[in-house]
Amino acid sequence: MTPDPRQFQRRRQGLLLALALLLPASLLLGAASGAYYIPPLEIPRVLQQGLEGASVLLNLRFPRVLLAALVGGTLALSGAVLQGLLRTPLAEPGLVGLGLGAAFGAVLWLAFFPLAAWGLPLAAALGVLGVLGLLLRLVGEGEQPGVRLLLMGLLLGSVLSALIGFLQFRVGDPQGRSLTFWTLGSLGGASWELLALTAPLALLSGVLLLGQSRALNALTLGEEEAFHLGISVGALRWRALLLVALGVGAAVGAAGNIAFVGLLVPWLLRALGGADHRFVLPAAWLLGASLTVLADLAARTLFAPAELPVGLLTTLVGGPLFLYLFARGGWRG
Amino acid sequence: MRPWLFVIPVLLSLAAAQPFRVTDATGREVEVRSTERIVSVGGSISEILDKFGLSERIVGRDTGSYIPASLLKKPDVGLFFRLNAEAILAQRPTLVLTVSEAGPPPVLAQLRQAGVSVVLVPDEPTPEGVKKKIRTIGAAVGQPARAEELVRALERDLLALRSKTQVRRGEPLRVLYIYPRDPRNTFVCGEEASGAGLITLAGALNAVKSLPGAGAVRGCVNLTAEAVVAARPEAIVVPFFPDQPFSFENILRLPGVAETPAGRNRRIVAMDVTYISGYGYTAGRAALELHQALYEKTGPVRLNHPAFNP
Repeated sequence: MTPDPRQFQRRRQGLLLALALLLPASLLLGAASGAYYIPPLEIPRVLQQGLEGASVLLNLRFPRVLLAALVGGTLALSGAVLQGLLRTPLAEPGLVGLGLGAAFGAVLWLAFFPLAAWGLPLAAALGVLGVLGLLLRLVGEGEQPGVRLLLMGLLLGSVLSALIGFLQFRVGDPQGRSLTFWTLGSLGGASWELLALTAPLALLSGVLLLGQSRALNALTLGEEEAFHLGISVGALRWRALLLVALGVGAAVGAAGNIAFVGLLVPWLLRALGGADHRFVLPAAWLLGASLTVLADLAARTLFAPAELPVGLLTTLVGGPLFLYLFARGGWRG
Repeated sequence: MRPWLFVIPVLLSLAAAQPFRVTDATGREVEVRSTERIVSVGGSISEILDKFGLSERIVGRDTGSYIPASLLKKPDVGLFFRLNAEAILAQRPTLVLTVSEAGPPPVLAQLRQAGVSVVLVPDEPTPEGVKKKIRTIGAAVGQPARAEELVRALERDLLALRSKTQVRRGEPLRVLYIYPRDPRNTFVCGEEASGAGLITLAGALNAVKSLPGAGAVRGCVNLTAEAVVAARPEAIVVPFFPDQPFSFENILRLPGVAETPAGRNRRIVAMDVTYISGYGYTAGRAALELHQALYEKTGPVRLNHPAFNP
């Protein structure tokens, strides 16, 4: 079945428009609710007159909602790029070991500098770069580099989680227990400082990755075809993977591993609007950001005053959903 | 000197070597045949054994036992909830004294099977619980009289505390108990938790006892930053671990803390972890010192264990 291209084009535009509206709506919803109860309609007045609760909104809730959007958008976009680049719809930062590389970098940093939280996003980005460098060396030039990368990434990921466990064991209690944060994810530490530390890396990676959509489109035709279209496949791969590393490092460094956003979001979008990266990449950023803001809203209000790790929620919802979709055989989007 | 007088020391040592009988926290009657080699699992148990003059007989200790400091040179058999039977048996103990939550339970069964007397010491975080703890240890090592002395000293401290809490006027201070384990999470305990229990004993109010629209916090939870602010704590109490770096700045940086009255006024009391949550013979003095730190001092306060000054 081949849909009419013009009709398909309109559908994509419609989807992009809907997603562009969904993000501000989720941001508003996230900003309007929380464990510290302020009637949503009172919020403008509270802020204007600096009433009780204004500091909660300004210093806790707003940076948290923005960080959720930034992290979710970055993870979904990185997932979409990886899937296009490796031409396997299962590639996801979490699955190819990059998320665990970020966590390992961060955990190593914590082990040596337990009191210097400011270095975490950078250390995490370095961890991703390290994993990436190692992976590309291991994969080499053989056949089916995408599949090999995916499998080796999975293996490397399990080695890394064992290493994290080992560090956890050596660093001991109570710092040791804290490290579970990296595997479950949480936006509870959000602040303007953390946002300021995360945003430059994440946004830089995001903007530059969005610019790769034409090259990625050419690559979907095949490496040879891409070459004939004037795309240097090797350079594209390096550039895109480097940018993904920066984005994933910043995102995981700020919020731990929020699973399934990078897998499910691009997958859904391809199922709805086709595989054109000029559509998938910006749409993935928007949808990933919105869904993460909403997931975090649930994480901090469902069991208030306690809070759930947001990665637990995304896995509980995303995992079974993806399994269902996958089992129905539509995995090529 | 008459030769039969030599019989007296022999008889005395025989009497001392008689097996002691003790009922432990699970109601089990345990026979203690020898107190020659003791493995002590629980910081408060070790400090009480030291008060009985038995620290020399401790041949193994858990990670949380660092008082008296001489214990740090003895073999560490691990965390109290993650014990390993072989590591304990390697110290060839005759008696293993553990806090009642020690485990996992199969390990305790393995120790009993190996012929070691295992006494689970009651560990309720209340003054009555402390007395029970001291008396149980006293019975297990055959020193009931010394145990009563310690109980009386505890009662004196509690009396001094009561004389302060009863004359104080006004609302009790709202205090948040934070267990620092992750720089990104404010991990907070309700008053049932052992460390937080001392806050109530010291005459203050646990700030998460009731939260608007959310009810009470039971046990310990990662409190969402906004709920930290909604709890409106006027002071924060936090345990510190003598072997780990601690800074007041890191507590102030935990999610939500900076927006609370306690955070703005830097009202933080950091207390040695055994002192605040061990409920050993120093529990009365700990509550008294905490009361003074909360009501009579300002700014950040650090309270060391009286028998351990790093």
